[in-house]
Amino acid sequence: MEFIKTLFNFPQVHEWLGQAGYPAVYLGALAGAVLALLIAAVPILMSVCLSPSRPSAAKKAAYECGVPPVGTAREKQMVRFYVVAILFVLFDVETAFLFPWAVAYDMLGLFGLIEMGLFLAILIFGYVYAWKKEALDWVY
Amino acid sequence: MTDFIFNLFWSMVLVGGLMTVTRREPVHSALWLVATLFGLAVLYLLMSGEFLFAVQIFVYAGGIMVLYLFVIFLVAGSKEGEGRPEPKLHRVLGFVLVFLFAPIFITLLMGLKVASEPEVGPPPPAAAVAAKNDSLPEAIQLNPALLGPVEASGQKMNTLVFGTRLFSEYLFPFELVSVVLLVAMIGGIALSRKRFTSYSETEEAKMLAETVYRGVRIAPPSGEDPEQILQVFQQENLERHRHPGSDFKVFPDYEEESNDGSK
Amino acid sequence: MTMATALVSVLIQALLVMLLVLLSVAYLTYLERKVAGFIQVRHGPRHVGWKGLLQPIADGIKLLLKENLVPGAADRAVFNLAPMLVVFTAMAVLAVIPWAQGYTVADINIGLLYILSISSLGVYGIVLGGWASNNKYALFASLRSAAQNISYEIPLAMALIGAILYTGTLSMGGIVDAQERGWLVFQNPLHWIGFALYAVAATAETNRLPFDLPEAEAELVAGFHIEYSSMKFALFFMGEYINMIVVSAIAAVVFLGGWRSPVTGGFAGFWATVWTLMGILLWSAFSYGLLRLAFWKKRFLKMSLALVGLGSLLMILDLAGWKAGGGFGLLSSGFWMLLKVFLCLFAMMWARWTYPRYRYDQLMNVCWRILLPLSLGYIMLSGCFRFVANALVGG
Repeated sequence: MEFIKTLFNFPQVHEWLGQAGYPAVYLGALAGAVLALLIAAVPILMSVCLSPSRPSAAKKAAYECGVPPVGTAREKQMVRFYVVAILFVLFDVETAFLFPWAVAYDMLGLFGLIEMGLFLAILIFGYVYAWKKEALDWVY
Repeated sequence: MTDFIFNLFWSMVLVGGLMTVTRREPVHSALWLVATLFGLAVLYLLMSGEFLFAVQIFVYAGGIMVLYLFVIFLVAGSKEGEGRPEPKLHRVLGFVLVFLFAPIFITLLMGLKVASEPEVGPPPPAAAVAAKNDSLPEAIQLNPALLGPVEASGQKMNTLVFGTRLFSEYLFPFELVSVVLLVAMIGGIALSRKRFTSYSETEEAKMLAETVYRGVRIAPPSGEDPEQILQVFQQENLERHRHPGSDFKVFPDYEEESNDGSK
Repeated sequence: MTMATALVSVLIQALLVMLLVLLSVAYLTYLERKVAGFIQVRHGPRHVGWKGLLQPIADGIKLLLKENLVPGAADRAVFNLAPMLVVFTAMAVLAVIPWAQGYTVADINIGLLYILSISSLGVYGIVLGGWASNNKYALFASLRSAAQNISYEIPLAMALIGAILYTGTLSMGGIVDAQERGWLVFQNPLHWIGFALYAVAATAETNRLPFDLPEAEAELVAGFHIEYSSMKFALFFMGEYINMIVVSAIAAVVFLGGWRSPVTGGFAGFWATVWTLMGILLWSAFSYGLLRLAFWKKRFLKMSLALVGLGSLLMILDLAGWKAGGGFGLLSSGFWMLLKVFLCLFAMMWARWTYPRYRYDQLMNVCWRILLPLSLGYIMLSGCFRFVANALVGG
């Protein structure tokens, strides 16, 4: 009984975890991830067990609005997507730098602001280049 | 507990890496690489690198691997290099590299094993932190009133410590990064542009051929014979009619394989 | 207490949160259809159970018993993995969201960044789902969708960075604590820009109309899940709704003060008083709007009166500084957090049934040509404001 009370005294558990040291705080995140995995897997397993399975050639064919499918779907794709992805990666790296900057902003003061202004200015130059070179245009 | 999790993700990194290099399907390789990167991120987390954990997933697993997937889709279906025997030199070189790097890799992993128990040592004395701050040039000194949290966090490499150190001590490398990113951006755009124009041209030609194939006569491109385009296209289409993985025919005999259930 | 006890306890907590979220997802689909019905002047579902309340359960059973089709040309393993990935990435981040004062499963140091990075893996569910189906519509939709998701991730993260400048921490609990004197949107009109940027980017991230290009029915039949049936199809939808809850919760925590009531600062000091008055004004406007609606459509009357009454009561108690025991704290903080999340969700549904869909090139233009420069400007302006404020107040 006492044990169950301890289990459901959530604030007390968190206080204990906070004192237990660094990785213990992540116990909750771990529990969340494990349960998320279970919740993602169980419905699929259940439906595999419960649902009927009567495949036929027509059912297994790719759906193309009733027209028999022609060829494979895995053809060459547009290079446009690749341009978007490369721009994304660059801005993603920039974002990764912005996070610690924002957190430490009060410590850094004016110098931090100027520093980041310079960093962004150089990248904005690249952004303007991309704009001028029509890399941001989406044309088919 | 920590040990168990560490071993789990350590194995995940190893298995993921092995699967990455052994899969034939490029998309599968990329997926296993994502698993490897995720495992690595968790290892960082266990070694007190909280911020590194998040950035590893945010940038590598969530950003760069998407780029990889796009590149794989971009070159999918290209027949270049298929059926050609693998050059002998590649295999030999591969083996040599494996034997060269395996010891380094194993040593590194063993090193990780020792460090698996996060060492959050006692925080450095306030005086030491203040002295270090004073030794920096005046412009990039930290706000002395706010030094408290940095001291208290000890050896933990959390976001605040990372931020304060990166933007004061490592200021020059940080600014250099922006130049590197700029170069990458310009390079990527320049390369893709060249490819893009030639690709669209071929696509246009294909579409033109298709229009002719569908029976809609339009003006042929100068100097090309529409009849020839038609023939080539029909030939290609016949080859493509086989749908991989299913025995579904182009014009199936619906009477024969009606819904008679599974066999 | 031992580590095992703590582990069991956090598992119970995570399970509670997730079951509640799953239940909400079921009833969000119901709500979505009811809202659609209201907007289009028709009834929503109303035959299964009282007022159609059992409809989501009937839908769930139907989906569970449907045949599980896998296309012959599909990549079986990846085909099964994709919907699981979508649900996993959406579910795993629920653990770091503070649902009430002191009720977070894991209040980690990098909470917000954890959510962003794990959610950024969700794009694989869509790309791989489309690719594994080996269907032209699906592959094309998944590529489009991936490009959309990664593009909008940047303004999303940047809008949050501008807000983080003011909170100085990435921990979700810490962000709420930093708004002790007033919600972020009250503290500086600048954050309205941030909130608007975030709202647009988050709508696009969750693939909701007007940004639902991934499943554009008219051009791509059903988008990346064209070949999916049965429970796997349902999982994609579950993922979408859980993601909606997650982005709404982030909006509530970062911009709208988390579990704090609108009058959180009380009358301590000049600015806190101003922000409190603004909060009272906001709540009055909200109540007025709701009651207008309720007196127009009488079927909402009881519900609206209860909501306005409870909210006003809790607000007055908060102003009076009445924090008797943990019970009141949990009730009050939980009420405000859930109300904010619900209002954000409702706004997304409202938008869905109001706006037409963007064309794809317009979608990318909005992100790269409008949102990105705006969010960069927002960050720099936010930095300047913060610097000036620090200089005036004195560190």
